[in-house]
Amino acid sequence: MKNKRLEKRSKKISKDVDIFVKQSFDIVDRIYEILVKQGKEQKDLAKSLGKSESEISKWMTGTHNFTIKTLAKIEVVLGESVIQTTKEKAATKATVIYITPEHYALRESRKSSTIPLQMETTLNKVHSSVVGSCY
Amino acid sequence: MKSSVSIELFDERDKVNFYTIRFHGEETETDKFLDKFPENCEYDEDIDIIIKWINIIAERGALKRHFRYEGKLRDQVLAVPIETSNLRLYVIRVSESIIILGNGGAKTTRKYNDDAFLNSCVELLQEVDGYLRYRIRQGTVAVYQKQLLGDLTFHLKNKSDEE
Repeated sequence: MKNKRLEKRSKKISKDVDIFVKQSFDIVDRIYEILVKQGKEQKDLAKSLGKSESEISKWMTGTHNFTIKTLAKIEVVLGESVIQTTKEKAATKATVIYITPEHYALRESRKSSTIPLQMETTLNKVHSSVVGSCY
Repeated sequence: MKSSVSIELFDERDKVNFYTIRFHGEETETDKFLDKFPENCEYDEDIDIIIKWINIIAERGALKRHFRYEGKLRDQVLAVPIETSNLRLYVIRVSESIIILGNGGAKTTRKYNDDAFLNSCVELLQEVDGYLRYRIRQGTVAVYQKQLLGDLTFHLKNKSDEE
């Protein structure tokens, strides 16, 4: 049973608040994930950043407005990336897309292929980046 | 004289059931809260944040770290965290899957207990939380997945009875 009043009000949430709260949750979930992976707790993060535990608790609620500077400090003390920009995401996607058997099949048949020169060049570049990222 | 309140289901979602409290013959406490802050009110953005926060909690689970501690250490009374203003909506976090939404308002004093109305909102939840936990221990109320089962009506002590 969904509450109709909440459902109706949910439809009126401004786009910016919608994105803000979702991203804040995503950020704190990512920070928490890193802490768990490193066997650390919120108090360890507080100590590393020179902040009080209550300050960190406020950050972890899912409605904190993180500044880029704070996120940078968190990334430094955790030694891992917390947020990823669209540009980074696009690069990651390109790497993933081209690791396919079809890609190698294309390379094998390049002498007799009718692939336009521009596309072949792109494939070569991507192949280099894939090989590079494997090491 | 005693006041009768019941806990009732307010909103059922995938991972969390949101309950609320109703005084006999009145609107629910959460509806009273929403009535005070209609669309386009001064706190419109904060209400948006609260509702979005409820929607995300509903999908991901009501983890402890997503709440703001307001009551006493021994109870489960918390507040929906709003940093952008002094608006407070108080809740009882029974488990990761069960939240009881209460009432609240704009906090204009340093501590909630300096404001008579906010203090009454928190005290109501503290009292209900106490009775609920007692009944769970006694086995007359059961927590099953995201449901509260059993007798969810409570007769609260009226302060004037104690005086």
